[in-house]
Amino acid sequence: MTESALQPAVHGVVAEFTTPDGLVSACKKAYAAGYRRMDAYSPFPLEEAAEAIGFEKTAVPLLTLLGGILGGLSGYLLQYWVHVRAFPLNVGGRPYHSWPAFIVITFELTILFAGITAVVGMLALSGLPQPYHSIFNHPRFSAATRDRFFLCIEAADPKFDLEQTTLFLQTTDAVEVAEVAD
Amino acid sequence: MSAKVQPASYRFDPPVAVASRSKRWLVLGFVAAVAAIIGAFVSSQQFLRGYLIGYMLVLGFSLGSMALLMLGHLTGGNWWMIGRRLMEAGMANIPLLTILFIPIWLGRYSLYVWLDPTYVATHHSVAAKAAYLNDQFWTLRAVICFVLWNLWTVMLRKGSLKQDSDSSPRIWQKLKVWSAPGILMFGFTLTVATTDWIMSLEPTWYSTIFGMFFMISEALSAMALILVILCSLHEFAPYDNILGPDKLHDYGKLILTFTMVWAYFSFSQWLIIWAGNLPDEISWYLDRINGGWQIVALSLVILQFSLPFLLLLSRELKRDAHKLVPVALLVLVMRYVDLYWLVVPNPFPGTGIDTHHITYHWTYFAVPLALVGIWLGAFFWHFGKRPLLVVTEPMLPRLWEHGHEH
Repeated sequence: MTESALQPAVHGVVAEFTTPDGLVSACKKAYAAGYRRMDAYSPFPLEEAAEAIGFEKTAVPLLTLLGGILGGLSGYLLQYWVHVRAFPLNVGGRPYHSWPAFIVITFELTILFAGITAVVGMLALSGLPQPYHSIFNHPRFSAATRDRFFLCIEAADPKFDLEQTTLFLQTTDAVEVAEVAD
Repeated sequence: MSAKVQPASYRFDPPVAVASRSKRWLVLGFVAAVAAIIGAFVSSQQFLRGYLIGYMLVLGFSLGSMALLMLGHLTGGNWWMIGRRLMEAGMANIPLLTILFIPIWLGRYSLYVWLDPTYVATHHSVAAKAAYLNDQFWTLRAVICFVLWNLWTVMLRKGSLKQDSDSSPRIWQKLKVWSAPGILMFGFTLTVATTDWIMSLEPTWYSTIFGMFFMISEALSAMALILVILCSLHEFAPYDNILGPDKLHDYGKLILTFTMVWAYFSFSQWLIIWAGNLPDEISWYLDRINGGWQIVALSLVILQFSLPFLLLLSRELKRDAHKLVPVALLVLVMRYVDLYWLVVPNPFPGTGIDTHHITYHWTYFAVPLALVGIWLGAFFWHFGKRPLLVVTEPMLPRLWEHGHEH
């Protein structure tokens, strides 16, 4: 406690890479070394990096599926209720329960509900919107949206030690290793 | 995963297995062809139906390959770079398919009722179509289609052959210049060809989405076939290094897309005709959902759409060759079932063969088998003559980078 009063709190140690392969191999190395609380940043989706840092499956696909099923059911049942129960109309002698005609709306609502659930579920599960994140204290971090790749081992990791972790990251292909304030 | 390997250190010669596969398929094809020829003497009517089913199936492999090839020239993509030589080998069978069309042309009087004057005399709606549906014009349209398909095959192959040694961007440019109008050509010719060869089996019926339906069916056939062949070669270099889960994922996603579009076009046609409820239009469906045919129709809904669709939603399945290949094989089998359902329940002119009840003849199996065998034999022959990848392709090194293609 006394130490933290003297020093500014540390969010973690950040290593910067110029290639996706450099980042991925560093992620694998860090995971093998026992680090778990870390995050990788890349200008484009990098599935291998996510796998390498032990990113587990999210519930988004399941939520999307449930959203889709709910959308499909509500679309079909709404039409059934309107055309068969609430306001039956004889259209050219076709049956009230004209399932082929219901398919289009059912399909559309399936997609609509699945899409909305996917977006909202993704935002909710990843804790967005988030107005403040310590990683932005790193002066070069904006390059993560252009051409640079970053790996951050966070101070919250039980194995984290400012000196050791910095030394460890220097053994990777990183072009720069720096600590980031919380 | 594996370390990055420089493509230059590889030679992309096809493995010996390709040549022996060519022989094996040709042997199978010729054995089945003997059975098919016996079938032609036993019942020329049934033989011709079987021939049309098989012909449309293998034509779909070739034209679908050509369409995907042209699409790739315009859009690129890692999945396309890996599969390109397979698409080119599939397309290279178009001259062979031109020759194999001759039996259909010779048998046209047995296949198409609108060539029978007594039928036309009793069907006014068909008589009114005589300006389009007549022997000379039908033949001319087929000739035009084959001329265009062969022209594009020659042009696309010529550029690609040069690329084995010449990396000049002018060749890429030329291939693009042929590909863009080629896709339009594919749309027009396929609409004409399928209207003439399949839709006109029931000349009173018409559907404007029919050509589109075949376009997507052929892309689906070709995609599934290329995936199956690629996976069957996964142990050979360079595929052992580059055919990773991310590439399989792309193939899986495209097969899922094409499956959905197939269902979309099939359902659009059905919904519009169902809603219109006009005697001219619904008869085609009534012939296909009664008398036992409903089992085939239902199998298409479930096995060509629902099951592959649900399975292909899974990310793991798409990234695992052992699970993805069986789905692709199911798609290929159902392509055959779909053609059987389109071709057979039509009137057989002057033969007394009843198609109001579900009917199957052994030639429906033997003739397509012969055509598939010959097609695959010729396919592997073409495929075995060229490097497996286009060595001068500037994007080629990307295939050795794992996990981040977009």
